[in-house]
Amino acid sequence: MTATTVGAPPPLAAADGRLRVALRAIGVIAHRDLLRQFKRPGVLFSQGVQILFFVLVYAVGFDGMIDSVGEVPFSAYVFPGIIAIQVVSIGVASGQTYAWDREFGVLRELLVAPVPRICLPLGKVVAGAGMVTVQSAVMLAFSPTVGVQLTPGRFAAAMGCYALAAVEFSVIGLCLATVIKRVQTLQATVQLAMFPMLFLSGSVFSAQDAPGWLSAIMHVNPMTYAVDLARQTLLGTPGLLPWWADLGALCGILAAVLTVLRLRSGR
Amino acid sequence: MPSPEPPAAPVIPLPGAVPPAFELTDLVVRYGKVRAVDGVSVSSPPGRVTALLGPNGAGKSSLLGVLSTASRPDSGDVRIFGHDVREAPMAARRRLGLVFQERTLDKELSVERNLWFHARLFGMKRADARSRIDLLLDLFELTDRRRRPVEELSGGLSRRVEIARALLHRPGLIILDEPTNGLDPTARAVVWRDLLRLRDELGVTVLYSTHYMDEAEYADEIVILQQGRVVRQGSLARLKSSLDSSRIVVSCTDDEAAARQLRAAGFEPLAEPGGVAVHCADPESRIADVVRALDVKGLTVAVHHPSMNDVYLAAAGPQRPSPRPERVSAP
Repeated sequence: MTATTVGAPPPLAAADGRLRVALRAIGVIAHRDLLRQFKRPGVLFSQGVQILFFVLVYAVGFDGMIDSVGEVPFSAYVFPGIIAIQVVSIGVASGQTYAWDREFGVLRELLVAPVPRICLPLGKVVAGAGMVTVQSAVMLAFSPTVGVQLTPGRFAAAMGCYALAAVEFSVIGLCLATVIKRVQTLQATVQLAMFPMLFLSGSVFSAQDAPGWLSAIMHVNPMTYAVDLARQTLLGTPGLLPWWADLGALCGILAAVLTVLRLRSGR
Repeated sequence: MPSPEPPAAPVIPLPGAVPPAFELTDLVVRYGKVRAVDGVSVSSPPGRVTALLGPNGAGKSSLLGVLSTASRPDSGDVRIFGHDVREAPMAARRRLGLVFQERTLDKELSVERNLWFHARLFGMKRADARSRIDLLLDLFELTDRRRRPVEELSGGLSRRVEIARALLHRPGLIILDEPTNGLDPTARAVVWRDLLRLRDELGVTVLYSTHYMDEAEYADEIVILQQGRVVRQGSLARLKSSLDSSRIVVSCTDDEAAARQLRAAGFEPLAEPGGVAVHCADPESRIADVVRALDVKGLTVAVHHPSMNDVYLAAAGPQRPSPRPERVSAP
């Protein structure tokens, strides 16, 4: 060892702008998380099987029992919601990687890096939401099998909607992970919250046809707006709210949960 | 987006003065009503090795947590090379290399990947990161394991990877929280060989906590904590001498006769289990006088110096023990 090679003062990119430092950190965390995901092919395979299961069982299977919702075949009606279920459940679960990193000590190393702490969860959002957005694109390829006429415009709009939902629910999952420290408690809480959130979102039945009290509950569910927006973009039918109101609600909720995440992350 | 940290706090040392590698002033860390660290003031100039000792719950990890910027102090001043950890945590973090008590490597990733992500997080340019990784893998004899997943490495090798990782971004201060915890004696020896090279060859400032007293003896400065407060602080020699228990112990067939003869020669012998003791600051220089003063049968003379363990137990233990003797045969 020589002092010149090992102990010299740090010629770090300290002069880099704050935004550049933050973006690089987000990229590094996202790269790391994606690399870890690809090292677990079993998880990716099970998610793929889940997609196939949802499409075949929910959309195609139930199509034989329920003819249509209004003018839209049932399989086409539920298809945007089925993709949203996948997006939301995997998005929220991405918060659990933060909890596992904390459990295994990896998070400690990340928290003392010279980067703004918000970059760590944001890197996880980029990885988790990016992965689930790609999965939603794969699911959209099944559109013709369920009677959804997919045009390039609708595809692009739906992808934007699912990407926004993926980001939003990843941030919600991370917020939960910063509040609930124990992995087991977090998993139990997420499971408890997911079931009503997924099914009281209009993903498999319409909020307009639900009793008043149930409809009111569905309106406080953030996923309802994602499902409604996705359905409008993919099917072109009127929704629970105008598309811009859904988009506004999603953006408002995202801003709120990002603020919570920022406050919970510290410096 | 990133929080607005003000520009790195200006460090304006006096002409010729170098800021301390770390400086804690009246540090207080609370957990509810419990003061885990209670008014600790410690500092070190660059290039020194400091050991932090204390029983479980003494506040070592809380203190290191604040110094590492992982947690915030409730009150007091904490500076790393002059950078206030509250005002400029990122500037402080750039000068810090950390080895945590628990393993913090990503087990699924390879050794090289772990180092790579660390380098990039610390803002190192790609080319610099690559050359530094090659250099440190070589220095820590890990080159042939660079592509192996960390989960396949032994505890000792993982520790060396963590030390290499802590040095990757050229920190001025490396903090290690119980670095050899859970390692076998061979792995411990290798880790200490590496850490002593940091001190001897690189001049890196090292601060570590440990429960092993023999490891504390590597330090230039030893700080003993008890219930969140500093109860002893100083060099090993100073701490041992402050204990005032160096002595010559004489045993023979007639301890009373020995005591009489010593008293007649001007010594102040004290009876203790196993013989008669003559307390003095430098027993080696007085042993010949003691032997000359005695005319007894079956004479054995032993020099007792306090060990680091004695120093520790006197400061933080439940009771003061009798020191372990170093036996010296009578001339």
